[in-house]
Amino acid sequence: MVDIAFLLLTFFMLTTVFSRPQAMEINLPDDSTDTIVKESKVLMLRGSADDKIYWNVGDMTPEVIAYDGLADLLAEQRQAIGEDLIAIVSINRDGTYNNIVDMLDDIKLAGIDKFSIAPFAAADSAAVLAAQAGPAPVPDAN
Amino acid sequence: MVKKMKRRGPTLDMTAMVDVAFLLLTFFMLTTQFKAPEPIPIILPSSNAEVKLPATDILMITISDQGQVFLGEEGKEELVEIPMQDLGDALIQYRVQNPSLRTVIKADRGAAYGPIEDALKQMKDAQIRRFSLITDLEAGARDES
Repeated sequence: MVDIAFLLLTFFMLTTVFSRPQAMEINLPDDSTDTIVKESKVLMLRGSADDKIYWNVGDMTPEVIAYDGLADLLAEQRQAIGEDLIAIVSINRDGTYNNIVDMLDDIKLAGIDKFSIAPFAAADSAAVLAAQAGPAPVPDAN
Repeated sequence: MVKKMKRRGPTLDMTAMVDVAFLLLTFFMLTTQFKAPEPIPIILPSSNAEVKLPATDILMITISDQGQVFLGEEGKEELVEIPMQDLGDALIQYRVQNPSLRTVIKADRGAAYGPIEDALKQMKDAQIRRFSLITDLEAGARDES
């Protein structure tokens, strides 16, 4: 009986320990007040449906990068632009939830505190298309 | 003499230890009981976030890989499926009842971003700007997607 009691005890102890989930804290800025920021300090990250990122700073033409290279890119831009860097993340509706978690994770790891999540608008599709600049890709279904 | 020595061994008094064991057992049994059943299996994405969620006051929005939305207070009730367009109103109702609720999104890593975006929009409209995303701890699992 005591053996069984201990067996149950270990079982319940182990299951309770693992039941606290890990969480990523998100704190989005208030959009009721307009904040004016320099375009050159804004890093746009657009996640496409095919697991790629089209990024640009200011009015440069977006460049494509894979998720593997995102951490390096963010560290680089953080160095170049400094603390004022604002990251704006928008993901295509056909992308996955994993995409945004990866992006936000890398943003946090790079020490970028200011970021926001924006809907993937038609202008974003256009920017992605412009970056792809080649055989006409399938338009994003919005 | 020899017989006496033999008898002394097994008469070790274990009452106190067993009492403690049972006390702990009841404690852990009662605390684990509060885990609500998952409405749907969710494969979490992985991240390096190490913040642990508090055990109480969690308003859980679960989004499955099929885009179904479940809402409920974690640990208190079973999550129920609700239509996306009702999410905002439901969130406001929950927050009115208990303002200290933390909103938490738990979505499948393969869930399409569309429903997530809709949920974020509803949360924004409900003035929820601070929330958490539940993830697994990263273990080199990134390229599996």
